[in-house]
Amino acid sequence: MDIQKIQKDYLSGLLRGDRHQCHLIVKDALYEKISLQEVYEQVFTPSMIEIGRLWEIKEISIAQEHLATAITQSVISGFYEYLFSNKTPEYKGKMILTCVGDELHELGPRMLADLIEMEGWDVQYLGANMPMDAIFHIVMEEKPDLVGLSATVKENKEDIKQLIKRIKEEHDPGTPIMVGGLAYKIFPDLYEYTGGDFLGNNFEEALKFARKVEIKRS
Amino acid sequence: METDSNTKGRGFIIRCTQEGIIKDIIRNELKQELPFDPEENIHYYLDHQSLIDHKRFFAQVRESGAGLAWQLNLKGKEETMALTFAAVLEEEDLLVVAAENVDKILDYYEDLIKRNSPYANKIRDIIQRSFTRNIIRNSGLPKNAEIETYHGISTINNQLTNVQRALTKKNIELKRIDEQKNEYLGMAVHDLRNPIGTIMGYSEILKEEIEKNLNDEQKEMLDLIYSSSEYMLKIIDDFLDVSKIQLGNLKLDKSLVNLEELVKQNISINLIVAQQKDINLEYILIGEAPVVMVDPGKMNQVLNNLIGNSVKFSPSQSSITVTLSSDYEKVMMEVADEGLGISMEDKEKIFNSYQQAETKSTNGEKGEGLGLAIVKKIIKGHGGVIQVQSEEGKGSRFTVWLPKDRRKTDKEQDLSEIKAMSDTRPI
Repeated sequence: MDIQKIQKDYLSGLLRGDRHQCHLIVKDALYEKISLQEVYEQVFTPSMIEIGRLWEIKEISIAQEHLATAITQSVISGFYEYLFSNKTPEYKGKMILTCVGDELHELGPRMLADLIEMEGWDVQYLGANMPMDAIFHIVMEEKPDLVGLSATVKENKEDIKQLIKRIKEEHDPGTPIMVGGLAYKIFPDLYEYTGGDFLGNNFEEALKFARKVEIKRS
Repeated sequence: METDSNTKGRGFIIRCTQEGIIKDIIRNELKQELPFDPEENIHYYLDHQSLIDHKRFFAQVRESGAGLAWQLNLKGKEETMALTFAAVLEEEDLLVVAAENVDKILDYYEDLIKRNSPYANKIRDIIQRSFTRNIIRNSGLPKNAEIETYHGISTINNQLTNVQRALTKKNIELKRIDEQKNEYLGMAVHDLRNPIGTIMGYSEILKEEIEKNLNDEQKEMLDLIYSSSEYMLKIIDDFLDVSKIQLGNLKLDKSLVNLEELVKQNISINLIVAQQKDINLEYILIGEAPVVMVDPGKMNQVLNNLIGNSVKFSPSQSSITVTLSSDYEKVMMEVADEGLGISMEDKEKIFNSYQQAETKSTNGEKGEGLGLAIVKKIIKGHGGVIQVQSEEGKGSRFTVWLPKDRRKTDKEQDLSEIKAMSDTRPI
C-alpha cells in the first residue's frame, strides 16, 4: 500500500473533521502491515505540519487546526493497546518526556514518546503545560535514564535552561537530556542557549540518541 | 483575592464553591494568548424541558456528575462575563479564562443571541490550579424565546489521553506478568508430573504383585498411595490444561463427532459414582442426534466436568438430567441437577481459574477449581457459550450452546483481532 496515498487520505479526513474516517485509514494501514512508526512519521507528522501551514496561510481556521489535533490524538489513543502489546520486550530504560512551562503543543513529543516506548523504553509522558518545578520533582523521584524536553514556541526557553541546569546540578549531572521541537528548528541559537546533551532534529535522530544511552541502573 | 502565580496578562479567575455560587471574579494578568475555538464540539447534555425549572436544573447537574453548570446573563459585555458560574467542582478550584479569549467568547455569545439557538462548543486551555490544563466541553440552551439567559453545563477533560496512555500501559504490563506466571506454573507443574507418574505406576505394580501378602491396614495404605497419586495426577493435568489454554495454546483437533455417543459415554463413566450415591442419572435426546465439527477429546472433558460436578454436588435420591438437542444452526447440551446450587455471588466467579464456589461437595469429593474454567475456555474455543442457572438449595442447570460449524478463515480472524484492538476508545 502506498503510504503517500494513506497520508493524503488522512489529511483530507482531518480537513473534513472526520474522526471516524481517520481512524479507519490507520486501522487499514496497520492491517496492511505498515508499522506504527511509519504511520507516525509518514502519515501523522506530515499531515499535522500541513495543517499548521494551512492555518498560517489562513486557509483553515484555528478551530479546524484544533479539531485536527484532537482527531489525531484520538486516533493515537485508539491504538495504544496495539502499541504497548507490540513493544520490544527487552527493557531499555526509563525516560521522562515532556513539554516545559506553558508550552501547549504536545502532539510531537507525544508521538516521540510512543516511538521510543516501542523500542523497549518505559516512557513517562507528562504532556503539555508542565510547570518546571513539577518536572524537576518528577525527575528527582523517578530517576530516569533519559530526559526529553520539547519546545514548539521559544517563550519557555528560560524555563528549559533553568530546568536543565537544575537537573544537572541538583539531581545528577550524568542524566542525559535531549531537547527538540519546532522552536529549535526555527531558532538555531536556542540549543546553545538552553543547553542539553543532544538536539534531536527529528524522530529518527531522537531514536538514535536513545539507542546509544547507557542505562546506569539495572 | 485569589490569583494564580502561573498567570500574567488580563484574564478572569472564577472561583467556584461546592454550593455552586461564584465567590470572586478577578481580572488578572495572563502570560500568553490562549486559543478559543467556538466551532468545535459537540455535546448537548440537557433538553429544553430540563431547563425550565432553575432549581431542578442545578440539582440535575449535580446528580449528573458534570464538571460545572453555568448561567449566562446577556445584558452587556462586561456583565456578560461576570458569569454566574455555578460549580459543582471541589472547593478551592480555580478556572482561568485568558483575557484574549474574552472578546472572542463575547462575540460568539452575541452571535448566539442573534441566532436564538442552542449551541455546544469546547473551550480549550482553561487552567485550573490543581491540574495543568483542561478542556471544557460546553453546551447551552436558551431559557425562553426572548433569551434573557443561557444555561449550560460543562464537562472538564483533564489530560485524559495521558491517563489513558498510562492505564493501557499498566494493563498490558499486568497481562504480560500474568502470562509469565502461567508459563512458570506450567513448567513447574510439568516437572511434577513425572515423579507422580512413577509413584502411581509403582504403587499399581505393588497392588497387583504383593497385595495378597499384606494385611488389611497395609492394603488400605497402599490403596491410599495409589488413589492420592491418581488424584494428584488429575490436578496436574488440569493445571497443565489451564496454563496451556491461558498461553493461547488451546489447540483443537476437530472432526465430525456424533455428540450423542460422546454424551452416552460420559454418562456411563459417571454412572458408577452416581449409583454409589443413589443418584438417578438420566439422558434425554430431543430430535435427531447432532453430528458436529468438534474436538472429541476436549468435548469429552467438557461433558465429564459438567456431569462429574453435578454428581459431586448432588445429594442422594436426587436426579441429574443430561439433555441434548439441536436445530439447523446450533446444538444445545444441558446438565441439570437437584443439588446444592450456586449462590448469586459464586455464579460470577465459578468460571474463573482457581476459584471455587463456597458449596461443599456432598460426599467429601475434592477439586482445585479449574474444571469450569477449562470448560468455558474449550467452549469459547469452539465458538460456543456456556450459561448457568442456579438457585441455592434447588439445583443448577449448565447449558452449552455450540454452533454447528463456524470455522473462521485466517483472514477473518486477523480482521477481527485488528478490529478488537482498534475499538479501544479514549475514556
